[in-house]
Amino acid sequence: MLHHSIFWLVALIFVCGQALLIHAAWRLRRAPAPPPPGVPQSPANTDFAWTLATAALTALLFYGVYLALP
Amino acid sequence: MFNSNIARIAPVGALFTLLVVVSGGLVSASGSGAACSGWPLCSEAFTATATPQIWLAGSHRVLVLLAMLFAAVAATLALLRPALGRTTRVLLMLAPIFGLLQLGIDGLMARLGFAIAADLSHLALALLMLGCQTLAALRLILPVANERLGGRALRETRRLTTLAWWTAGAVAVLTLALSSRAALVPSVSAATLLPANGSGALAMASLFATGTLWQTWRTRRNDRLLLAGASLIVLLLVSLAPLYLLPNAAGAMVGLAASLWVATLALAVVIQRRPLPAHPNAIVAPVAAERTPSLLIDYLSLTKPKVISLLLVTTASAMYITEAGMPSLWLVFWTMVGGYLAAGGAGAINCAFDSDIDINMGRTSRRPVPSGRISRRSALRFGLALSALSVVVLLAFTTPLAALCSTLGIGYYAWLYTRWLKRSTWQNIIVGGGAGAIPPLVGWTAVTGTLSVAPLLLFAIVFYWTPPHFWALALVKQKDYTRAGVPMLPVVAGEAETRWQMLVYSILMVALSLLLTPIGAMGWLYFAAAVGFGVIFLSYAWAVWRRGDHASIWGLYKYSLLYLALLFVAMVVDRLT
Repeated sequence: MLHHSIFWLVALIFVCGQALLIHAAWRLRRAPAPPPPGVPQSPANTDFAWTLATAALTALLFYGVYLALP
Repeated sequence: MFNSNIARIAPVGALFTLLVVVSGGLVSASGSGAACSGWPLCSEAFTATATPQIWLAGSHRVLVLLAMLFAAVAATLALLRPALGRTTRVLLMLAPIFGLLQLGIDGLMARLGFAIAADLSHLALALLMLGCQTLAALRLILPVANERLGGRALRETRRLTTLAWWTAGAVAVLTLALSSRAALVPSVSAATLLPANGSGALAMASLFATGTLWQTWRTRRNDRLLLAGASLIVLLLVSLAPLYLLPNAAGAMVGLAASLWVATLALAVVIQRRPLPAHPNAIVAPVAAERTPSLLIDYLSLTKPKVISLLLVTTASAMYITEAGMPSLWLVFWTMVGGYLAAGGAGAINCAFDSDIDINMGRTSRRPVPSGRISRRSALRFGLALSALSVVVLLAFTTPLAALCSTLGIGYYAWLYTRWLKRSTWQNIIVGGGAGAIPPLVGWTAVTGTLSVAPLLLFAIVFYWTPPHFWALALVKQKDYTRAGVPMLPVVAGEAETRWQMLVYSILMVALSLLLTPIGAMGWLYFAAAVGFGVIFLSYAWAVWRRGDHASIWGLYKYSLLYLALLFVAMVVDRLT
């Protein structure tokens, strides 16, 4: 019971945290600040895709953890 | 008036405490303690036939009484004189407290039946009391050197002071270790619990003392007093060696070692307080920065040994927490060798590819490739050779999966991160963090040959640890990254955005670190440690987000290094217990 509680608490934190990061990546994609001279412009769509991929892979890990719970 | 009184009383008090330790060593070695039946008085001194044992035990008790009296008087004077200086006052007030603790703990341990442990605590507390009195007396006698040191002089003085303090610490361990030889039954003495026995502690102390002498010769050779003091300490330590061979001298050696401890403490304080000689060439060592490192050092630095040390901690720890049990030492050794070669190879390739960036950054501009001491081609060949060797070592001595993970790590870091991500996207550190997260997988698979959820969680912990760690550095070195044209998050999105994302990643990392317990890979000991270390990490991340000043950012950067090491050590401790 305690193990499951910890898992769901961490999962909740994960969902909230990833939502904030995805929102930040979306915000930076919509309104990218001009980089200083000599610094390349970061590709907005790729940046957003990286953020989604990271979140998706970590979610997959959470699924693995869920299956491994006693 | 007050100051001069304390300045007279404190050294006398220290002298009496030293005599207490010396006589205590003799009492212990001769078994004279049993000659007195009571405490604190020794009635046998008046009633029984006078024997050397009774006189020795009685004298020891009289000396204890006098030492406590002087310590109490000095502490009272310190209490009445706030202008004395906080450290000096605290030292003087601590001395009688250690003395009283010594008496109290002795009584408690005797009552609880832990008499064996009391022999160590007895001497340790006496040494602490002696140390406090010695330091306080020296601070009262020697005025503070009123001078501002330049960068190099300050650095050299700090180095010398550090060595002197380490010498003092080693001599304290030596004194405690020698006390086991003075005990009537050395094998059951609590001193056997120390990390070094008498000869080991003597070797360690001699090593530090020689280092102090060498550094004194390099930087303060015009100061005859310091040089003589450092030389004397080395000579005394060397002279202890032949005495060590004489079993009958065990009691006297404790006293000698305690005297040596006073001398080493005195040297450390004198180094701090004596002004540098007025001679302009007082620091006679050649300027280190002007020296060209040897080719060997240059090639070694290409492997980034400082970075690798933390990676190897995570690799080794992962090896000890698998469900397969304790790995053999040979397996650990070869995995470490393979891991070093792989990480070093990837680091050398990174140095070759990044020389155009490194030359524009203060932190990296002195690396061998940007400074022209090693060509890019040579660095690349070296990196490739190390990488190939790592695959061979890991394949030959560990498992194919460990070799595969390691090879993927090399490619990830040297090509995906270095050649592409680092130069093109602010996600460079986030995605690139995967390269640094592979070592635990290598360690785990080297033992088990398979992957499971637990090692993937280790990967995720390091992966989410990377952004707050490297963004802290990027915030501090923001101008360097801008000049080098690297699109780090602080450069392209600003400090506020970076600080906020650092906090979010820190929360995710700490949360992920807790999942090892619910799946049964770790116990509650680890869970408690992960919560404790994580809370500290979050407090640093919070400070960075709220304040964002240099001190808080630098604090997070330094703690993050410690955090990762502590977390993995906690895993090993949990598994071993």
